[in-house]
Amino acid sequence: MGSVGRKQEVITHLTTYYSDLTDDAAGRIYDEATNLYHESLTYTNFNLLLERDEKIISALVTIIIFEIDLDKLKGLHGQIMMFILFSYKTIAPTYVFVQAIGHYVQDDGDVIQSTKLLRIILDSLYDYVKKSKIDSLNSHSHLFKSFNRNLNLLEQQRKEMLEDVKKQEEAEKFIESDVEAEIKKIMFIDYLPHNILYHLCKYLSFIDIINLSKTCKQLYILTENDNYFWMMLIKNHFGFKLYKRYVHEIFYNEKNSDYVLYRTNKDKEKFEKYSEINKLFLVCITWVFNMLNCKDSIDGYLAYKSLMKQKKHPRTNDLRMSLTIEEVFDYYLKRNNYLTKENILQISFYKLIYFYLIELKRLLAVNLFGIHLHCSKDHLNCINRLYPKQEDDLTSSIGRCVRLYTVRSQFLVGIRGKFKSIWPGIYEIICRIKLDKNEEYLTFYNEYCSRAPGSEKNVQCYFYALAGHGLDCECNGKKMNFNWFESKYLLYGNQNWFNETMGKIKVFELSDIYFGFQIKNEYCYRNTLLDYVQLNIVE
Amino acid sequence: MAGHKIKLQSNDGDIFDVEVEIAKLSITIKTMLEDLSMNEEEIIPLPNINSAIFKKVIQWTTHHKDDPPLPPEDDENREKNTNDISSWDQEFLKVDQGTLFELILAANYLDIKGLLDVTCTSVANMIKGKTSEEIRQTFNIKNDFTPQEEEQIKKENEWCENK
Repeated sequence: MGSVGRKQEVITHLTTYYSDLTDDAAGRIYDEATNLYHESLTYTNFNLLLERDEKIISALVTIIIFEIDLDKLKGLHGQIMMFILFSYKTIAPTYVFVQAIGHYVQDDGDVIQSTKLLRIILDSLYDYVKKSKIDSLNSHSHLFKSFNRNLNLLEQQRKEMLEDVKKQEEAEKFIESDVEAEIKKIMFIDYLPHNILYHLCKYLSFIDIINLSKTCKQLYILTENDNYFWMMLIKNHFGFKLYKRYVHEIFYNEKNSDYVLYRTNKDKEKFEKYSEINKLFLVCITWVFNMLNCKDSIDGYLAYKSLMKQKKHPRTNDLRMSLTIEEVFDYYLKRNNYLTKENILQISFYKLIYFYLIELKRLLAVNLFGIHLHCSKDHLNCINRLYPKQEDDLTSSIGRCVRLYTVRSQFLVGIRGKFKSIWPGIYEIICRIKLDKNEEYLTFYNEYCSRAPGSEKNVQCYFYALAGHGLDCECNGKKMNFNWFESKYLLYGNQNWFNETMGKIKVFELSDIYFGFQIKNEYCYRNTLLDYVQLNIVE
Repeated sequence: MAGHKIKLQSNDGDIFDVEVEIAKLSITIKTMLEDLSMNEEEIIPLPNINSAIFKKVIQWTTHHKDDPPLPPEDDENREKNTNDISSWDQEFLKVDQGTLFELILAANYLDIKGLLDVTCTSVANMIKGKTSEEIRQTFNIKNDFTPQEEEQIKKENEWCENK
């Protein structure tokens, strides 16, 4: 406290106790008391103080309170103070002193300083009482009451303070442990290095990635429209070969010429002419033309003829895989109602590619067509009939499947379908199959076999697929024969589905893939049940 | 040289004696030993890994040291990525998210593909089939989109979500 503040403090104490005292007079008393204070420090005999004016002495004890060196336990100040309290002729200075102490303790707010002051005063008191051989302190009860009160006050303040400290410590601990727990709990998935995020996403489905990207801005920016993210995802998910093919090659390769594909107008005319002449006959007796749906459309037929010509008389050895950006856009615009020419441009091109690659390319058997050899209105007497039958099967992917068997003496029925708009690449064709031995026809089968010995092992299945602008794929009785049937039947029985690979098919340009499946020579006994046909991109 | 050991030091100063064959499951350490022809007596510092995590890494590599090597990066089998985790690994990965996260970073830094695969799969399994809000809750991600932005994003993705 500065000397001006201290002077004011002393004046306040004096005017409070001596109500008739003016501030000016109190100020003068303070000045005199200050002089006396300095003087008293040189005294050897404190009795000199007894002669001084009571008000000056009151001011002096107050000044001493402020002047005490709190870090020095024993000193002259304490002695002077005690002398005044015990020996001065009136009680007034003691009252002023007690008030000043109370004020000091209550207003200052510094518990440590206040405690130190009281300690010094008590020490001085103890010394004084010991030295002066005072028998009774009765006459100074007010002094002790004041101490008591102030000590209680300090104790309470100290408790409150400790409690505050404790609370604060607890709060800090709580916050610390909270933060620690949170840090432990949080993966900071949004702060994972990018390459790890790319790696992680290959284990997620497309929808999972979309949902992850929608959680916060950081992840959204990193994934949603970032070409690089989708490129990396293609690489991580489908491997370097497919990445190279879909991110680099196919969009840079030029289209194959119509000439090398046997697709010039001249070629077409030639094929069409041939088809017109032979259609009725061909369609009725040739399974593959039925499979290509030649009675309704010439496209499958043209594709087939072109491919056969390419195989027989290749016009090049260098067929390229090629796709244009326009074809990609067109592919989506045709099949997705949410996309328009405008908003498709907002989507990362590589996201569109990724979406194609992961999209399930699967046709359910129940949605396929029977190969119907009752082929045209001009051919009413054709004996060929459609016999694939649909039936309920709870273990199939949608609860219904198709049962295939050939009735009586003809082999041309089966099932056919078409994958539309398949992008360039090499695809594996999978059929989900279940086998069954149809007890209903066991007698018929046995009868037939007894009539034609050796025919009991004649069963064979046949699969054929053809890409409009690509190659074909065949899986015939060499693989799917009696032994195949029996070994699979042993393995899976008539309850379990299994995936059978029909082979790989190569597509050079955007194509429809025609395919068909049949079983023959099984005399209705060995049946094949078909759940779906699926294309898996492999290269 | 089975049983031959090298010294590896985590970033908090602990030194680990690890069998060379096990340490070499880390391509990073393998490269250090082979390409930089480091003296085998030398202590190799691993500045990005603390000892707690490194212990886990050693535990994993020790268990998997006899695994057949993973197919090369661009194998055709890639399609067959499954989300299956062996029961030993499942038990091994029963840790809090922070530890899992650090394991991923360690596997990435040490270049241990098998460990990176299995840790990433584990995280992927925590994401799979969840809505955005559920993913946020799982990983304590703060949603910092405004409702308008959310609406916008929803619209952007209509084409691939509502097919």
